[in-house]
Amino acid sequence: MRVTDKIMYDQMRFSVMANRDRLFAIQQRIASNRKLTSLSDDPRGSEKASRLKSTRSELDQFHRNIRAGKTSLELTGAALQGVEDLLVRAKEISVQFSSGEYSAGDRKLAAEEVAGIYRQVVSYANAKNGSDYLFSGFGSGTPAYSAAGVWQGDAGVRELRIGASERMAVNVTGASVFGSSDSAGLMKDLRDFQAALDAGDTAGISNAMTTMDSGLNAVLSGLADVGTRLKHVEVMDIAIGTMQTSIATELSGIEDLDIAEMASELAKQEAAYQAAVQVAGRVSSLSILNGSSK
Amino acid sequence: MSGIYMAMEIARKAMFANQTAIQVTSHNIANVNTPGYSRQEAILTEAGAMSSSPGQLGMGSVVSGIRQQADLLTERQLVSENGSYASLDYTARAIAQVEGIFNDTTGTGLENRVSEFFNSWDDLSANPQGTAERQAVVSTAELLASEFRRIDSRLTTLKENTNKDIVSITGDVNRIAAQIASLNGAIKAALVQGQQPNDLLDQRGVLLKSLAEKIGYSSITDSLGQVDIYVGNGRTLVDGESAGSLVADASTPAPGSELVYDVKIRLPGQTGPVQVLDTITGSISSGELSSAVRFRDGYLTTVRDRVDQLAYAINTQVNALHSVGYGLPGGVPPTGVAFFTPLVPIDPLAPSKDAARNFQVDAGIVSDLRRVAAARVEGAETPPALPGDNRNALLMAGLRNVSVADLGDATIPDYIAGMVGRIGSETRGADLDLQHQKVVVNYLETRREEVSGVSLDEEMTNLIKFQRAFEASTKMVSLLDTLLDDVLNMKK
Repeated sequence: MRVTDKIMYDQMRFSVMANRDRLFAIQQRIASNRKLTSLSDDPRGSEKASRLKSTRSELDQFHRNIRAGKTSLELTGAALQGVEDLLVRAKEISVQFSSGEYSAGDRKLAAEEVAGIYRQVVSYANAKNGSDYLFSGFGSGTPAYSAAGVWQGDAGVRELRIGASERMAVNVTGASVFGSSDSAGLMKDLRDFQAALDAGDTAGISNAMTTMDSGLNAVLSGLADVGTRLKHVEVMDIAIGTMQTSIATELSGIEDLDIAEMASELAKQEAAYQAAVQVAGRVSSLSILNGSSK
Repeated sequence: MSGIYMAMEIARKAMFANQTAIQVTSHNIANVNTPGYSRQEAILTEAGAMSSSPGQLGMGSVVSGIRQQADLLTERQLVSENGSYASLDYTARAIAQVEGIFNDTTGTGLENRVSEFFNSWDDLSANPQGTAERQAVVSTAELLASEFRRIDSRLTTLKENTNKDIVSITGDVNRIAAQIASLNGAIKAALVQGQQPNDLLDQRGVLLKSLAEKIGYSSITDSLGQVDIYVGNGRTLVDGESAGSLVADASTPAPGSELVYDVKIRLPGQTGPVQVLDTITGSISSGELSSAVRFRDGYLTTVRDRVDQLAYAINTQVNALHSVGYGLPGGVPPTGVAFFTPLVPIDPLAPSKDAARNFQVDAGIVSDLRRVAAARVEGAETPPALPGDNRNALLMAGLRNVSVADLGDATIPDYIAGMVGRIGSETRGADLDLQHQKVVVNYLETRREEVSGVSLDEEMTNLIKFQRAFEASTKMVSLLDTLLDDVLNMKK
């Protein structure tokens, strides 16, 4: 091979520049702390990262949905709990007064207490989450029951997405626990109970024992339902957390830099670059021009 | 006596021949860094002999010619491979710009905007009456819309820049073609006079190489040493001493609205308006010009189609679901409202055309948040929808997991991921092609250098060689001078 000056200089330039290129690429990665600085660094990885990020974003959202759902369910549970306590008291009154041995004055006082219980039950049934009436179904802008105890809600079940194809119901409709009709249900039962106490209607008071029991049962089954759902949601939340962790790990594997590996890579490239520069210096000083006397 | 005079004559010729050789060496040294220069060599030959007794006597040396060291096969390969390199280089740089538009590694691109948009519907489903949640749906939708329009406008800018490139490359081609034609003339004139125009040939070689970088061509060298050049399916660009030219013609509007720069050719000597010229846009074989045209009409169009397809799918899917949903009470009309401004198909065969450019949240939604349709009226239910109904919002949030026929049955996030990955691997592919071609060109250039390149060490050695010969010849002259002195002093 006939090696001319241009071949030598080109070779020097080529090797020095190629080393600089690699050095720069490593520097850029370290500076940005990212393995991928452009899509073409790892096309398959970029594609996968995009998918993972989309999934991660949806999982984060599921977690948010679950939090919102939990709030709604917990508030519902608290309201039902309140109603339960009131009904237990109402039941006591009905048992106490069914014996008929109380004075009209006592009955009057008891009737007033039941009236208070009724008002409180209506108020619990109109509990709100923010501006939403919890028990109104989809008509959550209006109270579930009017002051007169008339059902104003609907059977709408508010659901939230907690999985790509899984939803959870986050409300309990007033109709399912307190009754939906003006001619039957807990509200009417409480009013009837109060009227019976007022009138000294012993049969009516005895009947209240039964109606308060069934009211209590409806509330308790509502509570049990809420409890079950809360438990399920918590299990789901843990599962989502696990998926979030595994996605984060996978994403980090694609995108994040292994600093230790990069540092040693940098040292290696520096050495290669220095070698290229030194060789260039040596080779370019080799010439007949430096050897001849003229 | 005749011996001394003859010897003097031989010494004179030798001085002359070695001077010429030194001049050639000096020329070589001067051109050590000239691109495309081929090393030259003075051919020293014996000057013949004269008959004499007892035998023939040599008459010294002469320079019989100046020879160029060139490997024609390598030169030809180099021209065409270098042309391929230039076109791959153009393509790789152009595609890298597209990659930059879609670089999602910082997490602010389409994927992010689409996810945020769907997430906002989830948030709305948790509080369907919330003004803040409704506002968030509209805001994330506007961000998504502006991302689509940003991508479209950057692709448009790229296209415009490519058109500018096409104009500038055709200018380069024309300048080179004119120079080649004028060199053709000078080379012919030299050859007719029996001279070997080495340097002119080198200059033309460099121009032919530059031309191959700009545009693929075929060429024929005629008996007078002139190169004729043909481009775009055999149309003449250079005919002997006269050159034609290329015209980047923006006068033909496409059926849509954007101008299309067609490449046309004006043959040597051809006159008349641009309209009569032949169009060669589609038949340019290689070089930067063909890369620019193919990038503009091929790759850029493909990428734009993919983005439009996505914009179209999101627009139509969201609208289809939104228009059957119901807004909050008081929103007028309560249902049948488009969420994104419906696309008016420009071309019935390509309904997605310009979908990204025209991607907008409908003004009706922006002006009245109650129109955001979170609710539905299903089965036996009767309107109006109830304010706490979130069933349409749930379906909207779930749209991201629905396979879309317009996206080849992919879901929206999967399509985006696929698009991003594809652009990445296309960029990488173009880069690898370029790197491979660089190796090929480097190899050929080294091979050319081996034959035609100037080695300073070699030239210096030659210089010493010719210098010594010249010195010896001068010594010869002075020696012969003393001999003549001796002869003249004999008679004292």
